[in-house]
Amino acid sequence: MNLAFDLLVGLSLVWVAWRIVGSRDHFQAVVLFITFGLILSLAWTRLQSPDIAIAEAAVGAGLAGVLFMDALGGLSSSPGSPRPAVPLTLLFPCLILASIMAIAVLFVPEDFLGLIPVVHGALTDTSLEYPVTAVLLDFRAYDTWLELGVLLVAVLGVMGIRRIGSISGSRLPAPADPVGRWIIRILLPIMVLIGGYLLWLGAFAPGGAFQGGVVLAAAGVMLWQAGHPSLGLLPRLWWIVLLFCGFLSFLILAFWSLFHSGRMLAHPENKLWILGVEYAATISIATCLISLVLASPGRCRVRDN
Amino acid sequence: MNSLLIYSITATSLFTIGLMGLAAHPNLIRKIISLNIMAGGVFLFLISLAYHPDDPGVDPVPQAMVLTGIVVTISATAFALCLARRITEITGSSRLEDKPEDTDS
Amino acid sequence: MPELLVLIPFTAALLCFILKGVLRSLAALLGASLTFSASALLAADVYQNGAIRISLGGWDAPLGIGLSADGLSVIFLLLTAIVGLMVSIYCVPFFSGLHEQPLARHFWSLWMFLWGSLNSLFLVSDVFNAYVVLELVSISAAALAALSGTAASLRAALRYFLTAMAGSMAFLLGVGFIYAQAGTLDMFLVGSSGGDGPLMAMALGLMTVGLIMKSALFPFHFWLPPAHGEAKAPVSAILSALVMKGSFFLLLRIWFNVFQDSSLTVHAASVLGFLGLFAVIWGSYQAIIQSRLKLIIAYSSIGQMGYLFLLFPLVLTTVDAAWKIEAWTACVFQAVSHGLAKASLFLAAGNLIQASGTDNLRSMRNIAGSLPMTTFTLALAGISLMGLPPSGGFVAKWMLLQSILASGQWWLAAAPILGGLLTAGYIFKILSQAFVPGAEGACCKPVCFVMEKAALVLAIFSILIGFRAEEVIFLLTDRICAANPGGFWP
Repeated sequence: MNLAFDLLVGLSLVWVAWRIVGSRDHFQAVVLFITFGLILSLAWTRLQSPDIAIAEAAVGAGLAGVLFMDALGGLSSSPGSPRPAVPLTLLFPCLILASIMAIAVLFVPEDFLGLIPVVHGALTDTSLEYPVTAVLLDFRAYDTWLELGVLLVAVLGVMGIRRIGSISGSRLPAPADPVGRWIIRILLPIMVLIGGYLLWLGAFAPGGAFQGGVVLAAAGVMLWQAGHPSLGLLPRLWWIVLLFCGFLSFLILAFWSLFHSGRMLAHPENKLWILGVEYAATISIATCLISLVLASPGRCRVRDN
Repeated sequence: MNSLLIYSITATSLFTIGLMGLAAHPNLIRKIISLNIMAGGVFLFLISLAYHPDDPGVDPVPQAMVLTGIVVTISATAFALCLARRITEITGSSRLEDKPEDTDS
Repeated sequence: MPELLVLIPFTAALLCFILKGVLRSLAALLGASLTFSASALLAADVYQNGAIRISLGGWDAPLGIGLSADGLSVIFLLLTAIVGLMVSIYCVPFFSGLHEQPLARHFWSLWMFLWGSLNSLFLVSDVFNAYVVLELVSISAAALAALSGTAASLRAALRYFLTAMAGSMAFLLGVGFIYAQAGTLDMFLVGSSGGDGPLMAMALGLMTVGLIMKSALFPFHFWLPPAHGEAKAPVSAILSALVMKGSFFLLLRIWFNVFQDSSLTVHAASVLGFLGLFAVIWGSYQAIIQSRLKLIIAYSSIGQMGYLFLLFPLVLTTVDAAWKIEAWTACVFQAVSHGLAKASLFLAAGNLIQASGTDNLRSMRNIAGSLPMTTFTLALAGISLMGLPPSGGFVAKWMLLQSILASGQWWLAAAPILGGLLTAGYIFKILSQAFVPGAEGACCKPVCFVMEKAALVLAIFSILIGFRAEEVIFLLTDRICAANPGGFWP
């Protein structure tokens, strides 16, 4: 039964991906990509990775969908190319590559355990109970810190391209109709609630900074889609504080732990530290993602119309 | 034939399809979408390694890696899309073709 | 100690974004000089006491992430520190100009982020961490390349970024294959667990292709000339001197630490060597036929990077250990001297653009009269690129030629010989223009002397490093983290 489901998910993923690449219509490709994200989160659920399913649904299907749709509107809709999208000369090398990799995959050992024993053995030494959160915020905190850096640099890069110093005054979509506004009014508090709940849950169950952050970001982007500037209303200073707080809290932790115990990024005994870092990371992830969506269309020119 | 095999072969196929799209499509948005398909394939491969149907449960390290990867990928996507939009605004074209752009003056 | 190399630039990046005007420049310069001093101290420490390995967060290797500083990383860190400090000094007057003023905030914070991420790349000891760091480097480098804002530079930045992203994805898939085989992510643990087999071969292939896409080896060089040619001068200097070296460094790390037991490396090495040889000849030839100074320098990067890939066939197929070490040292030496010379050339080109408004070779006439110091810089850096004694480039190419002849792979000798001739060709093409008397009054706006000095200092370093070869060789042979000293190292 499970095997049949796996086959179905696998085949539909490959088929949808193939359709995305082969489709001539850009709009169709974007819609198919959102479908792809949803099927992928189905696969995550099947593979017992609810954390990734949440993140994928919010980011892969949600935020990426908004970004692509938005960009599609911003780009001149060039007509589909008349020739077939994928030339045959490319197809054969790719087929060879795919088969080599498929053969290599056959050699993955059946009894492969990875780092499960190591992580479970170390869980008693950390203040977090849920292994994924423990890996993210404690064992491999350096990765998480640098990943917050990637988010921040992406925001800086977008602002550099747009030559802006803050996101206030970003271009807005048209205001939503009353029905849309009504839906948002109901959905928004629920999403904020879910985001906060996920964050709180992260210490002992699936959830945590990433998932909470991306759900909050989705809420913010929804607000923006409805024609409300959301984060754009904040004064620049506050926006910078929200943007930087995740990266900054890791930085402070790094300095403090380096000079206090000589081991960079070692969490102090007090559980408040790790919670503070996690909350700051959540806020920063949400703020950065919202800013990325808000800043990329550029600044609205008030005098133009 | 088990789930690990199905998902990892799906994953490598997705990676290849994405790569093909990246190389084949002249349109910028389509290139970026293809990159996202590649990323989806890589993440699926990592998670298929993490999955153990019965005893020890799911390996948290690949899960953490994929969560990190998802956020990195969305940042990169947003950045690339912003570049693509700016290019279209300036040149009116949403492609990356090789025009000899000699600004000799 | 190595932690500070990451912490200081990141702190400076945040400060540069918040502060304004003079304070921002001060914060940037302070950050740059502190990072420089920290790199120098770390280098001295490693030189005297041996390689350093620390575990972050107090979690040891299979679980946590480590930072490792051995001779190889220290050399690249020092290169980054010298180029970084000089570029930072150069940029203070550069970004106080009227046109560049609005860009200063973005430039400084992105550059400091890039510096921090490059430092953490050179300290990396975990394959997944390497992926995150690579992404950080790619995004900040692409954002810097796009700062010019022209259509050509944006296109070039996006082309670079898409290539780099595809490379990162291939790298990450390789990380998956490594994890499937070794069950750990720490580079040195993977290396010592003695992995060989189809999974490791697949990982090696994916990671190598991903990284050579980022280092613009021959078939993947297409993104480089526009990206480096269209960016702002200091950005071009950073991209060619440091960012390309970052992915090359990682390639060395994974080949000689992660895949030291893989049997595929010997076969793949010849392919890389052949591509390198081709890159040397093709890139240098393309450089000769360009008519813009920055494009000449950019194409020259393709050629000069090609030399570095001769390392793989020389080290992996040579039998005699002494010659292996010679080849290994030669190529790393080449990486460093190329980094210094190329940064200096791009900064000098920036001075020229500031003076005459364009970098077309025709506009360079008579700059020897109006910008003597910049002309001298071009000449010095050119000497190092060509490999004339006593420069660093000479030491590198001399050792390279020796080890090629000793290894019996005669066909590789075409690279230093033919490549050297072609390099001389484009360097003289640049310099000959400088001494042609041009139309009077066409030139020039004044150039801030700090900018001229910064370029000159880098050029002098690229010559002087030839005299410090012994220390570099010591770092590269006696201070290397290699789990099996019997394999590649005696």
